[in-house]
Amino acid sequence: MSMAATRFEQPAIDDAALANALKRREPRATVEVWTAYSPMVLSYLRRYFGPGRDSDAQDLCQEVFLRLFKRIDELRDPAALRGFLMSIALGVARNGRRRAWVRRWIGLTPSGELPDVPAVASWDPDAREALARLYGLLDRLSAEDRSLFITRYVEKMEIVAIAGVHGLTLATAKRRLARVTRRLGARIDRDPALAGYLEGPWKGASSG
Amino acid sequence: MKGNEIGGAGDEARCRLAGDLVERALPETRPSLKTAEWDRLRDALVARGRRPSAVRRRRWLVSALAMVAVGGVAALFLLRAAAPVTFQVQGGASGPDGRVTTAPEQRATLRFSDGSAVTLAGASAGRVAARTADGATFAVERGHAHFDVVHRARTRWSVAVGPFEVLVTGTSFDVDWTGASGQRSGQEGERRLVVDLHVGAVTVRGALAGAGVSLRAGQRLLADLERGRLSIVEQSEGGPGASDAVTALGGPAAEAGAGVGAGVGTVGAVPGARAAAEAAREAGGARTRAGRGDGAAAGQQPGVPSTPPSGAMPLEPPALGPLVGPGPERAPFEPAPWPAPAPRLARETKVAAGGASCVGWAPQIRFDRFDGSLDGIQVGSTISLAFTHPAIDRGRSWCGAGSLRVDARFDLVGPPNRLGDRPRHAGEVLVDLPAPANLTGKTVTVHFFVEGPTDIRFGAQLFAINGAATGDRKWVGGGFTADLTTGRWWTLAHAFERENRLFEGGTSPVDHVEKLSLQLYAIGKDRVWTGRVYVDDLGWQ
Repeated sequence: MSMAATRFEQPAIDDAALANALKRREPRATVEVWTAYSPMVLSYLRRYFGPGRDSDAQDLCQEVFLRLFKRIDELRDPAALRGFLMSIALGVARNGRRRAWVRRWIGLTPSGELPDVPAVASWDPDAREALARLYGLLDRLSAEDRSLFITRYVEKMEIVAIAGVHGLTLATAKRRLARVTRRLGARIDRDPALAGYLEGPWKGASSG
Repeated sequence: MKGNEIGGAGDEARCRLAGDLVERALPETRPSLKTAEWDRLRDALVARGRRPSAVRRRRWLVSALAMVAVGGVAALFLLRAAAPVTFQVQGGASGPDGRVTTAPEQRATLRFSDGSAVTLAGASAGRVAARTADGATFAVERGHAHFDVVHRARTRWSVAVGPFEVLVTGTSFDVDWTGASGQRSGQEGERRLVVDLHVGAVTVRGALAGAGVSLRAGQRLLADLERGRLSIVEQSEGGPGASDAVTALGGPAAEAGAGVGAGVGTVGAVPGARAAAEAAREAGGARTRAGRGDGAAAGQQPGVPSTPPSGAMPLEPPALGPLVGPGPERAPFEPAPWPAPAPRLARETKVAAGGASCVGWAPQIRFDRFDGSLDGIQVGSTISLAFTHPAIDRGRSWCGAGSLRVDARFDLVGPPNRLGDRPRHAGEVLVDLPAPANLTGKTVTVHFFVEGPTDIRFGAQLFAINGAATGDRKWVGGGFTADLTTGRWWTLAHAFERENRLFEGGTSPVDHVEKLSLQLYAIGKDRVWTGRVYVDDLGWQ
């Protein structure tokens, strides 16, 4: 089985030219890189944190690009701009989650806990419930495991790319992905409501 | 399993479906950037290019040295700040707790190390409730006290008197307080405050004064808790016999119409409320030129008790009708008719918990202004049934003399509603605005307090319900806040922009907001609990 082609690899942008422009501090490069990649980064961050944390994701999205601009000279292979950006996004997401934990421990809000989905959505209530349950399970994963799940099953990145952005060897990435898949799959299986939804009528409608 | 497969086939299939669910629920969106944010990003790129590493290193060094210097100054400041003002008592009888009492013909003076002085007249009692490096809090328990507070850059003096607080910067004034049992006048149950301001400016807040009423030199404030009346007297310079201008601010509702020295903001964002405030001002002005023949407080000697309030002021409502006439046309947020229901404050009252935040701004919706009908307030809907029995509570408020109280019962009983939640998973206070408001660029704030088990956690969120010409209402959320605890006031605030993201996707303006809603959610491990929720001061600026 192979995963579908990923959005992550689709933008027809000359990464090398863009990275070189960034290195030359060309102001237009900020616009171009933001235009090209901010939807991808924001999408990853929103999915990493889950529903109801949009403002956090928006803030962190800017943080990712700030870091990119500050660290652009560290990028040795200009053609690897996307991977470099994604690895920064992973780090920012993990730090964001860590800060949420700290905020919770020292008694500030908002916490790192999964927020309840506001009760005013017009979106499919069954999907809302399933999504809340899924993020409840993701909350029990480590930051890296959560990131592995998001990059693999939501962003649908290839394992080679996942290994690259996580700074893992291919073998280690495969091993950890297998572990995450096994654990999360089993936990989904033990949640009848979530499993029932995923295996229900929606399955055919959305995955096809 | 092929090279790209991971985990067991069943587990991977479930994970893949879960991933599809997330992808569908949280579709890709394009972030927007304001101009300032663009500039920040661009500067981050350009600035680094301009700084060679040697320059950066030097800047680090300079920064470090500056931090050390700032740290030293801060340490000195903290050491200085750690030493509170001291005081000595002359006359009267002083107890170990700082309480000073005087006999009927006696006088006591407390002289503070910052140069300020408090003089207690006869048959009075008070105590130094708190001391800081910048001032003190003196509690007048009964009787009359004269204050001479020396003005400094960071002077922070306050006077606690019954349910009121007088905030002082540097001034000379008298406070006369007839306590709960009418100790001074001998009239059982009278509770009156008189503040005569000779020099400077003070702000009186709490109870009838709500978020704060500012006094100028030469003004007298009278608050009659039993009648729910608050008045400000313009004391002319003509001395005894001259007539004074009296602004009757009415009950706890009338501050919005206070044109004389009121420290509260206007209710400009709500046309109905603004009209009510203007009507209140006009009505007040029409009857404020009440003659006074006694000429009491002007030019009185410091430390000498002022004329008893009952003799000095027309505290009885003049026969000029209500401040704003009652009737079917009255908007929900108009000031209550005068005389307003007298707030009966229990001994354990916890009004005006907002402290200094109550000074300088009055929210558009203050629940202590509602009469018994609670028009325009709804609790509970098909999706949130945890709240019941709304009522105005006079014993607890963020600012002013009351708040909206609801009984809360969160549990898992009942079938899930159409959104998949149990009916009492959430509670909601929905407030109709008297007229649609444009909240673009405004920050909406609400305060609430939850009484309940100490170990539960809950979440909260503000919503602006924006109407549209098509009749399609959008619930624009103000961001979910979780892990809130009972037993303290919380403040929710959210700044709405021109376009605001909706949970269900897309965006919505907030240019025609018809209602505001506060929702509380049971979260965490314990989702079954009962308690009470107090909501106060819903507004925007």
